[in-house]
Amino acid sequence: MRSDRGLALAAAPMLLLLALPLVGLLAGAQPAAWSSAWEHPLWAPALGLSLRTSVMSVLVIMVLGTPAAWWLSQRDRHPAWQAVVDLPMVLPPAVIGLALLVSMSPDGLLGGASGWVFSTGAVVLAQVVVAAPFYLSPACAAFRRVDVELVWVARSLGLDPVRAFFKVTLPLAAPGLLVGVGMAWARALGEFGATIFVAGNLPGVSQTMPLAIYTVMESSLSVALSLAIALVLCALAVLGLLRALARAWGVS
Amino acid sequence: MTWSARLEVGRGSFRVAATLDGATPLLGLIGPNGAGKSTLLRALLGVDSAAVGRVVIKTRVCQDSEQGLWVPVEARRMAYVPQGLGLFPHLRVEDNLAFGLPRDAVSRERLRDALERFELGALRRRFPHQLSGGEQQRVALARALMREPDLLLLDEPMSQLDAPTRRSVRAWLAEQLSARDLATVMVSHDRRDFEPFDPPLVVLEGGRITQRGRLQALEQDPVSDFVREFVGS
Repeated sequence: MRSDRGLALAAAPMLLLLALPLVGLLAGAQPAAWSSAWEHPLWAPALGLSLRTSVMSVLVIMVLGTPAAWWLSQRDRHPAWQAVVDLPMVLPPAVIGLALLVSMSPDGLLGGASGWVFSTGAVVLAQVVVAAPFYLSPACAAFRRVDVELVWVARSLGLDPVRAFFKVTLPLAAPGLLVGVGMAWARALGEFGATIFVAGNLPGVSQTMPLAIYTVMESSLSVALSLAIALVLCALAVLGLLRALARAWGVS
Repeated sequence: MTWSARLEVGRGSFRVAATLDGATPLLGLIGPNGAGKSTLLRALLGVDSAAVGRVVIKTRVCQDSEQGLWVPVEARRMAYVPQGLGLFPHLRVEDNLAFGLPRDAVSRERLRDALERFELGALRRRFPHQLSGGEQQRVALARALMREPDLLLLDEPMSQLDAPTRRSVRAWLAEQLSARDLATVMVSHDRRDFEPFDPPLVVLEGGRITQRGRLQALEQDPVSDFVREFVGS
């Protein structure tokens, strides 16, 4: 009991520091400013754009990321592939944005997509690249945890590899995939650095909530705070929903 | 001879090579841990694409590496019960039993029949984690038996049971196997699992077959310390 109190004391500074943004946001909230935030012309388009692009990004990440995670989870892949997955997590988002911008210049690697720069598509591209590792890592771990004997038994019971994947591997990995979806979605929603480089900060086109908060802050801190709280509530709602889904699947 | 297999499979620097034949319904496969027993079963099942050789079940050729013939797992008509039993944890007993069967009246009839024959009717709505070890064992064996496979592969089917449960499942399995003329390969570390049948035994050590014979022959002339200990157990 005594030692537990000592440990709690040692853990407290870190935990308090982690809680600071949320507590500070609520403490600094100015309810009087909420109506002016509500009426602010940037807020509604930014929230709509954030939800649209982040959901779109997560769908792209799930469709492209699930086979990739499954492939990575089978056998011992070359460590270089793990490095490729981790790269966007260790690179500064601004560097990723710059790299995407250069690739999408008319004579860049993705020159054909040069028309996409400063568009909503570029917002999604930036979010996908930055957020995908947050899905891939837990998804890969979830696929590794599926007992390969179960897949073989499914095959021996008459299922071809594709049907065995959908009837056994995928349902058993689902709780882990859902964790990845939640983390990738949160990362996509918060995306700022890469987005502003490759998609700009155009209201209604590429000005997502984080960019709107940054823009509004220059004129009114209280409105920026209100937008920030709205973003936090949104994130909590979706994470709660995913948590409930995971529990319905039998794993919390 | 109802089936025969000549297989060679490498696992890193470790190679397993063996010739098996099923002139009797049951063939026992024994050997120390790491001798390659499970590797051999998986090669037979067809989940190890590195395995080369020839596998013939009845008149069907399942694999012939020289002719480039490879029948995939799902078409080999083999049933497989791994050490961990292989029950799908996300499916109820009845869905585990009916797994892979087409959704039609014939399958529903087969399921009803199996639930009755294997006395699992009371457990049909349960999930595997809601069953005792012995019940899980019976569900896994029932799922394999109800397919009426051409070859049944049992990898230490009773290794995870306590002694009394093991006795009752052993008797139950012996009854089920003798009621059918089903070609079976069973891996076990316990000679009592084989006693009801006294089948030919194949001893696998270090990836090679070191001895063949029934229990009595192994008792009279054990070729290694492992065999001596196995028959003495």
